[in-house]
Amino acid sequence: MSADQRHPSKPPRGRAPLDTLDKLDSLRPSSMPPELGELDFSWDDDMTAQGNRPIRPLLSPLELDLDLDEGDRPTAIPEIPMELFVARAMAQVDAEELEQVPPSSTPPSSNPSLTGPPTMPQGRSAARSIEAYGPLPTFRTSNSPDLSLLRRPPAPLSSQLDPLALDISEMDQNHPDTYLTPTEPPEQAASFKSTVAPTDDDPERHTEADALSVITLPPDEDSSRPTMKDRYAMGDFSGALEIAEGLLSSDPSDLDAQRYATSCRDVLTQMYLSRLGGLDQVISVVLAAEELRWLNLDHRAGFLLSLVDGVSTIEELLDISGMTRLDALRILATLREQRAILLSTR
Amino acid sequence: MERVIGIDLGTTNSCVAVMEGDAPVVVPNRGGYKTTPSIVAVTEAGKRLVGHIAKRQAITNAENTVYAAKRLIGRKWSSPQVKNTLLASAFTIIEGPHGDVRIKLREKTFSVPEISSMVLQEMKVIAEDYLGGPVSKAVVTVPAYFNDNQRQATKDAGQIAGLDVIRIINEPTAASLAYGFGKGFDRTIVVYDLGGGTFDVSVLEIGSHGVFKVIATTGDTFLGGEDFDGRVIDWLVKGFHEEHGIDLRQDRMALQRLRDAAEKAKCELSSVVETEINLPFIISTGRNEALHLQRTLTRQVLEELTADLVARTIQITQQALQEAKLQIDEIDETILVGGMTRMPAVQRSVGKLFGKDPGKGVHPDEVVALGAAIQGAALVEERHEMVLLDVTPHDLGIMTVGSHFEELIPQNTTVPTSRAKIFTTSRDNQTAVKILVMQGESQKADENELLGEFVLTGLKPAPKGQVEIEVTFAINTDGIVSVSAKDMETGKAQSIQVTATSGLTTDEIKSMMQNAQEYMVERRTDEAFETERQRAESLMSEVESMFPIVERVVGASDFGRDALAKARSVVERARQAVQRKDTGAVREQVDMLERTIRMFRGVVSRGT
Ligand SMILES: Nc1ncnc2c1ncn2[C@@H]1O[C@H](COP(=O)(O)OP(=O)(O)OP(=O)(O)O)[C@@H](O)[C@H]1O
Ligand SMILES: [Mg+2]
Repeated sequence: MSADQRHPSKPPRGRAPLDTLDKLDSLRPSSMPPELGELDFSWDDDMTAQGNRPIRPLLSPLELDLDLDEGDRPTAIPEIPMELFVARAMAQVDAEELEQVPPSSTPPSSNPSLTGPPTMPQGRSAARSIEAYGPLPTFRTSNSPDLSLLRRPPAPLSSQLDPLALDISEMDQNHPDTYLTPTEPPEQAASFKSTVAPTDDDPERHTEADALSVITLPPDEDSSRPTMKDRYAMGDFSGALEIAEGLLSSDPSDLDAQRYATSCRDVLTQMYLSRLGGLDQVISVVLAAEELRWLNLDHRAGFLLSLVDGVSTIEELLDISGMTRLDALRILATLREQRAILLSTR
Repeated sequence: MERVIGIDLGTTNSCVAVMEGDAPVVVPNRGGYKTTPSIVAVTEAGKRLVGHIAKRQAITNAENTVYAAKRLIGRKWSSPQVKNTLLASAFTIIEGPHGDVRIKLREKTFSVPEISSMVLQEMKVIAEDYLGGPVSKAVVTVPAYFNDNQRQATKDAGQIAGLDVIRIINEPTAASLAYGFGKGFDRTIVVYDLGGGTFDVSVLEIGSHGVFKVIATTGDTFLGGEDFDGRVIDWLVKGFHEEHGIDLRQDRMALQRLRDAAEKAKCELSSVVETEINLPFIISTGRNEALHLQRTLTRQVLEELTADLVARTIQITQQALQEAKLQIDEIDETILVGGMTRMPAVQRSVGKLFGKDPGKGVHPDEVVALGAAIQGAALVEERHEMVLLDVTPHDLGIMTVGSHFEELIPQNTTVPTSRAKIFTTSRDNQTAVKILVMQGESQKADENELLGEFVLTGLKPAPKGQVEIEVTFAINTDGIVSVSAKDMETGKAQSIQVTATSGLTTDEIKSMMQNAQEYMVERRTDEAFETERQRAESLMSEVESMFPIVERVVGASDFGRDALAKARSVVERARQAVQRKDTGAVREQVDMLERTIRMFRGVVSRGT
């Protein structure tokens, strides 16, 4: 991992689009850590109720006090094809993002080194502080599974949660990567080693006095393990993954960290995938070579872009990317957000 | 009649052709390319990649990408060629159970014919897709210098791929066939073949009756288009280093892009005089920014960068003429083969050497496959005027007393052929003789290649020189040699077929065939599912797009509600079948979806 990749460990919340909840099933970690046995994942089984799925604006997860009717069940059939539905929902939210959110606060999902086109104002300093966000952007959902889960008080409870004890529905669907719990102190976020993408030029980081020194230290076992679990429970899977990877770098046999890492990777992979609309989407570059240069890409994104030929699918690209699937998907999701690439079906 | 395909199994690229009526045509692959890289890779997920897709990740996944397997095929682990390839390859090459060569890809070990079979299988699929039916017979080309082991290993590769290789022919011979030689005139021609990884030059004597004699063949198995690309890469890397102080070779992704861009630029410069190489975000500075590479390369600079490479091919060509004991003016034609001969500097240099323009008009990277297709058709149609006679590439003989090599069949004998010679015992009361079958041009046996050996026992004890033994060499049309020795007095005989030296046993080949078949079934199943899935999905969205109209028209009636509910459940079932990857179920739902659409259309047309 190159040093120039930055990764905000403190992602803005609720910015990215809600994936359709029908995709929840696919969002389940495919290889959940063990002891998952007792969990009931059948909440959405056989719930194939039909009906309209209104697109509801939600103000915040905590305000989700909705009367669910039958039509709100998770596997209800949308009236339009799933891809289209997702694409529309995303386009809507994307549009909102562009209006409402400072472009600098690139979704945490994205490879953080890929920030918005330089033509947009760069508000890096805003990225790290929750206060700086102002009102939460509106995000949308179609219908929500067991929304009561979202009302669970985040930090205290979740810290005891095992990933296995997590119902997928409480993972943040609307954010590709994470959603921040308002109760989480910003310092905490910087207190673990950033293995994914160390930041070095972020003004916000520099103000976090201890951040830089801690980055080079081995993860603090005492605090990082619970933080990892917290983050996982909060749906901050890349945050949890960073810690898990940090733990693994000092002790590769750490089973707990292995489970969390695997699970996080799975969920993240699925999330990016559902944002991109599936493995069989064909990717093409929409920006001219000259315009591409104006994007702030890193060399890995540059490499992926160079593989895009307008006929290969995401799957084919992943095969030849030489990166982990997760990394490649993350970069692609960001490129899509930056409107550098276009996805279409064959 | 069953069609025979012609396959040019190249070091860097392969090409497949078939006869369409009287003319051979090259079959493009799915990407529309007429040649397919002879590259096989296995991804991290265990997926097999063959062709262009494998090439595009060849550097970033170098350890698991087999490139130029042809340099290894049919060779012994101990051969110098294998040692050289070992040094030049990033993938793992290990010794096989029979002193042969094996390649490790991720967790699995493959024989070289197995790797080549994956390329052949790909070519077979390309042809089958084009012809719309199964193909089982092929003519495959090999370099003129390939020995029996290499030819046999190539046949084995075909067999593993499910192809009956009805004939192996020499590449320069195939190229000459495609140029229409062998009809009417006696000619002496030079075939200059500069491909992606190897350079071969052959001098051929072509008789008017289809006899193709390879009088001389030389070359360099490590000289080709890749070296030209390498020069461009060097130039780019050096320039970038001068400008930014960063070595692009350190980064595999950068190197992969450089390689692709260098080859692209090189090819473009065969038709234009200047091209731009543009690689944005090529490398990270380590300071949170990525640098761009942008340079203009002119044909003139490219020619300067590669002048010595071209000069070397000319030198080797002169050497071939010397070996053939021919003067330049005794050469009637020169033909250019291999993608690299599209480079104007190459054409100029060859033209200059021979004092006349080389033959053009056939695409140099397709001509070998075209010739193979012509030969394939000739073989099954038994058009006699087309029968091609190949010749033995080396002297064949046995070792006699004093480590002397006694030739039985001289080089350039047209095959099939057979020759016999009488030998005698060299010791008194000798009861057994050992026959060492060899090929090569040296008088000294140990300088030639040992093809096989066997022992004839039970000779009657007698003074030396009294027992007469007849040794017979026979070569069939595939160039496979069989040797027998017979005690003239007792009639007792012993023989071997010099074939089993491809490095694989029959059982191994069988099990590899099985694997290849299974792979193919899996792949076809995936493709079948994909087709159904696409159909199902487009129908699903059509049904879904009709919902609002149908709802408006009949949504209020019981019938309407019922129909809509049914339609929704059809869509849902189709979706589930797709999710389960159940091809059969998807197919069923496709039917249902089609019916639903018809029903909806009826409803809408009546309602409006
Ligand atoms: N227009 C072109 N100009 C220059 N070089 C070209 C052009 N087209 C293809 N090449 C080069 O030709 C080479 C491939 O040639 P070809 O397909 O004949 O190889 P091959 O037969 O597999 O190689 P080999 O003879 O080593 O087995 C590549 O290096 C490619 O870059
Ligand atoms: Mg060739």
